[in-house]
Amino acid sequence: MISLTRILVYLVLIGISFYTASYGIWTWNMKNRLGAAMVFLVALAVLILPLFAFYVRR
Amino acid sequence: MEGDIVFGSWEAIALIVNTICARIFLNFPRSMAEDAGTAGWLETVYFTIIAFLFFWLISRLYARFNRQDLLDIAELGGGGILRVASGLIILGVLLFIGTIILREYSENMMIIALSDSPISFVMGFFAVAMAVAAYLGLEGIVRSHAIVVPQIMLALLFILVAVVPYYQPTNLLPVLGGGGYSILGKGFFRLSTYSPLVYLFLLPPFIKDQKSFKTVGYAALGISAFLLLASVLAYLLVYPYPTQLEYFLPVFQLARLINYGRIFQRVESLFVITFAASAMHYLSAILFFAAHIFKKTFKLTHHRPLILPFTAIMFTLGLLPNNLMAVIDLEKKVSVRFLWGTTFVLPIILLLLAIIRAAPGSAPAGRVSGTGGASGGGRPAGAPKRGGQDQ
Amino acid sequence: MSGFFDTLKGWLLFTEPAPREQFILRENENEGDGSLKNSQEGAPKNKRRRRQKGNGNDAGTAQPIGRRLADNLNAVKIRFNVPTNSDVMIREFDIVVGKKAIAAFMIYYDGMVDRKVVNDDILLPLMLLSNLDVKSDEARVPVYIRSHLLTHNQIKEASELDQVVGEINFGGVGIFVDGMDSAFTADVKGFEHRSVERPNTEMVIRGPQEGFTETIRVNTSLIRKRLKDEDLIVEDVLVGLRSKTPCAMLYIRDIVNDSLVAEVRRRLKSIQADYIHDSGEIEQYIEDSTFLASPHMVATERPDRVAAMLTEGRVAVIVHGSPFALVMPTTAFELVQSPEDHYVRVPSANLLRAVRLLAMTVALLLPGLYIAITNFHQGMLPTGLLLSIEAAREKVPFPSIVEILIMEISFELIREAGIRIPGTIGPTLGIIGALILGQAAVAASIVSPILIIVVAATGIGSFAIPSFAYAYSFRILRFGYIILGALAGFLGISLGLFLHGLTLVTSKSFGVPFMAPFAPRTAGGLGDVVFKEPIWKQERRPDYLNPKDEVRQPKISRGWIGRQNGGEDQNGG
Repeated sequence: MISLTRILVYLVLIGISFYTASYGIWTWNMKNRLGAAMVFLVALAVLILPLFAFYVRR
Repeated sequence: MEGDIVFGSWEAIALIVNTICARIFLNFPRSMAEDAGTAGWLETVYFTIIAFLFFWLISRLYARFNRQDLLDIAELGGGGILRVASGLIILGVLLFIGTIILREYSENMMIIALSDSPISFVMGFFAVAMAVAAYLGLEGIVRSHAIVVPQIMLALLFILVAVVPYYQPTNLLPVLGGGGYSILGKGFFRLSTYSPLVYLFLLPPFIKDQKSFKTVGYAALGISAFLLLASVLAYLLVYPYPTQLEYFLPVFQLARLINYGRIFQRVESLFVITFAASAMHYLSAILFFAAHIFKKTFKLTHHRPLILPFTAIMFTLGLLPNNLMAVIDLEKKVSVRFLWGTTFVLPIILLLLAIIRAAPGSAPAGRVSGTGGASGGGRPAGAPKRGGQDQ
Repeated sequence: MSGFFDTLKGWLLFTEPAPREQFILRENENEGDGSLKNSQEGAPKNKRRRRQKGNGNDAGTAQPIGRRLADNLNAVKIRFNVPTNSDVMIREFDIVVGKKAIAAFMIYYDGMVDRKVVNDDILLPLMLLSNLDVKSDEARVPVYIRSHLLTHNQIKEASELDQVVGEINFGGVGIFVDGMDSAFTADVKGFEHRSVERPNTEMVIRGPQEGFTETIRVNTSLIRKRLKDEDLIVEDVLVGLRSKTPCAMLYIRDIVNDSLVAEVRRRLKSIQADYIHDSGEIEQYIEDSTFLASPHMVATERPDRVAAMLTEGRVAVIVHGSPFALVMPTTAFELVQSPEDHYVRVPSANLLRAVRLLAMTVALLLPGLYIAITNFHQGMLPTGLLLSIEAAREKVPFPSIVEILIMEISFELIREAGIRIPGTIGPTLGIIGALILGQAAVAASIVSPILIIVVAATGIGSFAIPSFAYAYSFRILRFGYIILGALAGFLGISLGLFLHGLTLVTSKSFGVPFMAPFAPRTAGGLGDVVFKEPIWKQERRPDYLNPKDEVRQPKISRGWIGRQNGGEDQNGG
């Protein structure tokens, strides 16, 4: 059972990831493809790492 | 951004000193005792000398590059590929150090004061501090260092001096402690203690000139060396060898011994403020530089959108180790063995490549060239005077 | 709903931040130098659609004054809403010049002018003395009237109606003469105003006892009589599109950095507001950061303090209708300095400053530290004290955070109520409220006695801060420290101090870092920051102001030192 705190934390992380991805899109539109790709990677890491940490620590 | 911000030598020195000496509040004296026994102080002297030698070499090579940081030099030496490669290495190191430090400080804080709190709660405080500081920018971080670091140093020195009544010179015997290999062999890898010196190689665009770069380097190394040595000596003098290996927080244990009369005792709680202040400043510098390096490596325009994701990444990774022992073990296996290479070997390689391949002083394409507020002929309010009058 | 989605969108999607030009106070910039970062131009054009009102700083509606008296009379009646506006007085009369009787009228606000001056210096000469046989070759009527008839010492000639209206609105009189395409205005102010009294908020034991009043010219004269320097510039600026509030910028021309003056002028002239009532409103319009708890400029009632700060290279703004002058830029350290520090001897001044620093620390941190120590770090307390506190708290049903919030909020309520209670009852209410509330609360076991001491000490500490605006910031931040201390003890306090410190070091006041000269370190100028050096050692002006003339006094400013003749032959040399 996922606790309320965890849900709130995930929501915040989703928001951060979303914002980072939007920065990636903005960077892509500025013609910086490599930079945008790396920013997208960071956004993905923000989403995936907590899930990984949760299962490892469990 | 680099063209707009200029800060003085003292601010840079305070930044480097705090990042190096933050280890003192964690487990540095104990690590020295673990490596070389009663000769831990000799080991400190040994790797400090090596650090000075390395820095002398790097500063000689750096003399040709005015106000260019490691990434600029990498681009000069090997183009975009080398810039990206070195940027990723430095970024990886910063994120690793940041994660380890965040977890270690939080665990130690729980030991000292907040034993009933979950680790994520304590880490949250440090994460908020570093995220806000990084968001406010480098200027705020270094200025805060300039004001707070002297107080942290004074507090540390106070603790070390206040336990003088407990010093036992016989605790330093035998003088050579664990022997030659312990001092010289293990001591070489302890050069990683000075790994935060890598920040100095990221600061040149923000410091006014090359002469300041050397001044900052030597001064920071000198002050840090003094504090590191003093802390190790104090710890070795107070506790006999077997006891030295028991404590996770050596300086905290020293603070607990302070007892002058009925009122002036148990001041170790004030140590919490010093400890937390040092931690927050260190972490904020790491996070800022991580975002800055990422931005510069991939030629992004803003670093602020990267602050929250990096904070989240460091926070999440910091939760992975099971306990403090796992963190210390990880630090010993990775940080101690390899970080000295990032700080001392990587810059030398990059500098040599740049010297061989590129003309000195030329700026790589895309770098924001700025003279740090000198445009228009006016010195900004509070910026150091030209002619080195600031310190 | 759409506003909510817009806010959410703003948080979740990256948008490039709008470039904001930050003012940087550079070294020795001269006005008119193209290298200045900020525009030197005056107020931006008023883009409002309704009737344009000139504010005296720009062209406004340029309605020229006609030659026909009847047209002018009609125009002013419309402009001043006569007869609806019942205190507008129009007096028609004839001026005899040579053998001609020329019709004229004057217009003024009843109650705003000095009637005696109007009668003696305006009406009498124009109506009666014009009959005298004045020998003059002057054939032109306006010149004749100005040079030989009007005996008032401040006469201006205006060719546009707006200029006359502006003068009348501020207590002047407008004189229109038939056949002239201009009108005369005279400064005959006579409105009621408070006399110069002691300042209410910055009382000192040693030092001048004069404070500003609400009248701008009285205030500027109080400064001029202290700084008898022809380079002291009093530059008038009108602020407020309707109120046209007269403001004055004061600076010493050969000391102050010109870019600072230009920046202050730029900010004042760019205020697009209807009415400006007080210098507090001007402060809110021109400050760098609206939400920083600390003020960015010194608001003072004392002319001596303003004069001293002007000599350091700062700019002052005086607003008509407000007894508080604004001085900028400032740093955090100046906000805790009292004017008395400069008038008492060094040991006394430093003692006062040390006490004030302690008061600041107590006002900000004592409640938070109390919560942190009692909840997380009980080991810090001596055993006897710990037992005593625990015994006192034994019967209290609330956790200490609730206890302290109850008392702090009560204290704030008492403080706020005490301000509004009339005269003699006010202080009494404060004492009785504190005594009764505190005593009753302890007797009822709602709070512990030690908490009353903590709250009282906190309140007294905040009263010891010289700048009441700065004290307000401490009152606000104190609650933050209480919550942080309750959450995580000293770790929470450290977080609060770290963030508080960061916001202070990143703030700027008119281009000057708020924590100068410590962060960033500047050359010299530390003699009067935290503690005070002897006055004869303060040789340089604050470096962070980048003044034109950095040297305040020579190295040996006491000429009598080591000289038989007391150094009278040289100026302190």
